[in-house]
Amino acid sequence: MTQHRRASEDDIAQYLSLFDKPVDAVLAIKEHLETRRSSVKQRIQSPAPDTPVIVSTRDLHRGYKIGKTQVDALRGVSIDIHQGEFVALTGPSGSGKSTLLQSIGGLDKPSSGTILVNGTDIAKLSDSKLSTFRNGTIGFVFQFFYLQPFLTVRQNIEVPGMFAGKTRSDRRLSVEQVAASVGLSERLEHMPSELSGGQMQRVAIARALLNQPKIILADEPTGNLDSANSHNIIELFDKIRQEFGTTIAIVTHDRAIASRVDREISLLDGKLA
Amino acid sequence: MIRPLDTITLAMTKLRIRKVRLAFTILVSGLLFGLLLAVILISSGILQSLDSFGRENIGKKYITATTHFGGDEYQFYNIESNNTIVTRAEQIHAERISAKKAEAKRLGIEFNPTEDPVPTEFNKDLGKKVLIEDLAQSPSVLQAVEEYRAGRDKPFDIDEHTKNYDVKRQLTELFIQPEFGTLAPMPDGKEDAIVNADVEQPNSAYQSFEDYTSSYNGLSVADDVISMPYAAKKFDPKTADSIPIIINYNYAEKTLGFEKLPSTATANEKLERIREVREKSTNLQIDFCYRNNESLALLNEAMIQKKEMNKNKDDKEYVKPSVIYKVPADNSCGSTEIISDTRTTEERNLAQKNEEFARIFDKTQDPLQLKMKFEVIGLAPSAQSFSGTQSVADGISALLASAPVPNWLIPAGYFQQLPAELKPVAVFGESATATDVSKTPKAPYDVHITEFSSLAAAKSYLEANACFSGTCEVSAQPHATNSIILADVRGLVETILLWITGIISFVAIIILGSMIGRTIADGRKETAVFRAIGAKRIDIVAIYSWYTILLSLRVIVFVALLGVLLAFIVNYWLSPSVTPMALTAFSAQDLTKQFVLIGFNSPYLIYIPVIIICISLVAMLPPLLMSIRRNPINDMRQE
Repeated sequence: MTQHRRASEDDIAQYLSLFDKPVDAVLAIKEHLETRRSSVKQRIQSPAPDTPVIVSTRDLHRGYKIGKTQVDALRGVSIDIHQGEFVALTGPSGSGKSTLLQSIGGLDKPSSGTILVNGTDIAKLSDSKLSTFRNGTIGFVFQFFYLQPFLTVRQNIEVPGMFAGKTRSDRRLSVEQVAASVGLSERLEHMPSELSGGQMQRVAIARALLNQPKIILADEPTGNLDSANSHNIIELFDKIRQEFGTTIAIVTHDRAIASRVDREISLLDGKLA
Repeated sequence: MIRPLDTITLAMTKLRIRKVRLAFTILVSGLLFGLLLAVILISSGILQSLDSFGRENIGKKYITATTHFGGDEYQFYNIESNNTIVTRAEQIHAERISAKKAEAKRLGIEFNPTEDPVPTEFNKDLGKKVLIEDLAQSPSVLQAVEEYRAGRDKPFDIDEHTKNYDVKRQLTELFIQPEFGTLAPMPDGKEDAIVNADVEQPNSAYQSFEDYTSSYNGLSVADDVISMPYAAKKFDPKTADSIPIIINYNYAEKTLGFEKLPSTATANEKLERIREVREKSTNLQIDFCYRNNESLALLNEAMIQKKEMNKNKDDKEYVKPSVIYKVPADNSCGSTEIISDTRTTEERNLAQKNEEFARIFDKTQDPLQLKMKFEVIGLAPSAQSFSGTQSVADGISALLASAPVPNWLIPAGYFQQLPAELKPVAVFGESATATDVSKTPKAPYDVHITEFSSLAAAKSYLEANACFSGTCEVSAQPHATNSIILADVRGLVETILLWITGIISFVAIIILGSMIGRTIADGRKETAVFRAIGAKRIDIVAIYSWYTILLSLRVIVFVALLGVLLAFIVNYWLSPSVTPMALTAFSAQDLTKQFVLIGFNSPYLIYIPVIIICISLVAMLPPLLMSIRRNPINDMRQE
């Protein structure tokens, strides 16, 4: 069940501007073809999921003030994400996609509405329980990786395990597993500064996987990567989903990436588009 | 919750960022606390050394001297117009004049009543007769005052006065002040009165004697508790032919013929000098000369005659006195003999009658002079002079080791066992058990020496009996030991240290707070990420607490290194010069003792690291509490 929306005039103008230069025009055409191919493939390979709903939001509102201006980031968003599903939250800047992701992850509290994650209404959890929830149920991946520069790759991956209170030996075992999954077994003793951007994002993904979360939430995980690395990261997410059955939701602007997920949830002005 | 080792792992990463700021914080905080540590180490060392040197003599005893003034009613301004005394003095005077007239008539000598000092004078302001200002000039006044007091004086009971305090014992100290004469040491074996009489102008010889006399303030028979700690050799009073005495260091040095060491003398030279003076002083004998008033008068007469005759030896018209006296040898303390008497029989008879007359009314005696032999058995501290121009070492020595023994001491235990012939009544009085008593009518007072069991008891007694007004009935002050003063110094040092610690802590809180606050602010994004991946608020608090403790430990290490280094430098600089001064000031028996200016037994040494850690944690709390209350989303958005 892929949700589509009509392109706005701005989107069309932005798209057409790519044709001002020959090289950009060629790339735009290639991307369009790729998107269409992917879209056709998806429709053939990913039927509507029949797995249980793991994330459910109903009439979600989130407003906040910037100076004297009231901003309504979410205005009655109701979505369901099924277990094992790989969804992309898309939309223009300010559409509320990151707010929705962070609300699902328990980082942000909605002004109203409900968020059921794995059967728990996380809007009602205390700060401490929310932390435990994030630590055990959610794995976060960020655009800027946020690795600890003075810890080795191994230690960086271990950090969520530290907050879970796991022993060092338990963590070591888990680190070996997730590092193998993301292809970093040989780099465990390296420092982050010795890695490429793609490798750093792999470390961040491994870190997110350490506590075997049910859901991975990634906020523009490829925003800081070139197209090859972006492609690889999306492949990695797909692999993780296959391997661990993890539900994955990513925020992205990248149409090519959005076209490669099971379902695209587009937002516009805080509402589903 | 995060485990402690993991917390430390994450906290350590924060110490690896902003290294310049970190180094600056450690440097500034370290300098502040390093100086404080140095001050604590040095003051602790000084107090420790003072304790150690104090144990060498009577430094650990708590002794006071209570002066009883007999009450305000005996002050001159109160008795000068006392009608009872004024009337009685005039009555005694009248009786005296009449008795004198009768006796003069009997002896057949002339007596002029107007030459007898009058006891009273008219005071215009008061409009009545009052006693003459110089009471001692008139025997009638002295007798009247004495009679007045005898009827009213209640003996001062020191036991009763100190009964509410924890008194260990009452001590005896008799200031030797012969009633009718003077007792003085003979520097270089000579009578200074005779030597000085030969000197027309002050010169080096005179100066030399001034050095001696400034080192002698009097003689006391002192309780063994006060005197014996200074005794450096054994003495058998039963077979003795001299009186044991403890003199001061400066006098011994001078008597032994040592030139004063120059101020540039090295520590070793000073120590060697102390050692030599100590060793040689135990073989030292010092003669004292006692002369009663008549002996002094004759000696004075002889010296005046000698000068006069020398001055007029070429003057043929100069008529020599009819009785010529010979000045005794300056090392003899001998009697003043007549070498020429050209008086007629009649003149001699008249002189004899006048002497008899004076013996009756002025209680004159036959001239008496005694040369007394004293054996030095120990050295007591010399009085320390202190002036702003002296060195730091002089200042420490003078300030903290103020000489508590002004008099030369005869141990009372030895004195009591001495053969009677060594204790002439003319010099020592009937008994050596009384405390210092002066019966001068103008300022009647007696002094009582008390040893207390504890510093607290002595201090509370002193606080209750200190006199600052000048019109108190009693006045108490520390005596014979500076232990009480040192305890006050210790208290003062501790108060000063507390203030310095408070000020430094305040400044350090600002510095550390600012540094830690910046670090926490800089780490907001990281904190937000940690919160996103599951850190609880308490985990963040734990991480920053450990970060703060680790930062504090670095400051502590720097403080320890700097403080100890500074204290060692000060000790290395001052200890060699203070040690000889302390050895003399405390009359330490053990000459290998060092006055160390660094000590590690102050409780403040434990407080400093605790204070550093505590103020760092306090400084950390406000920014941290603000930080963990922030929404992590806001911090992550601020890219």
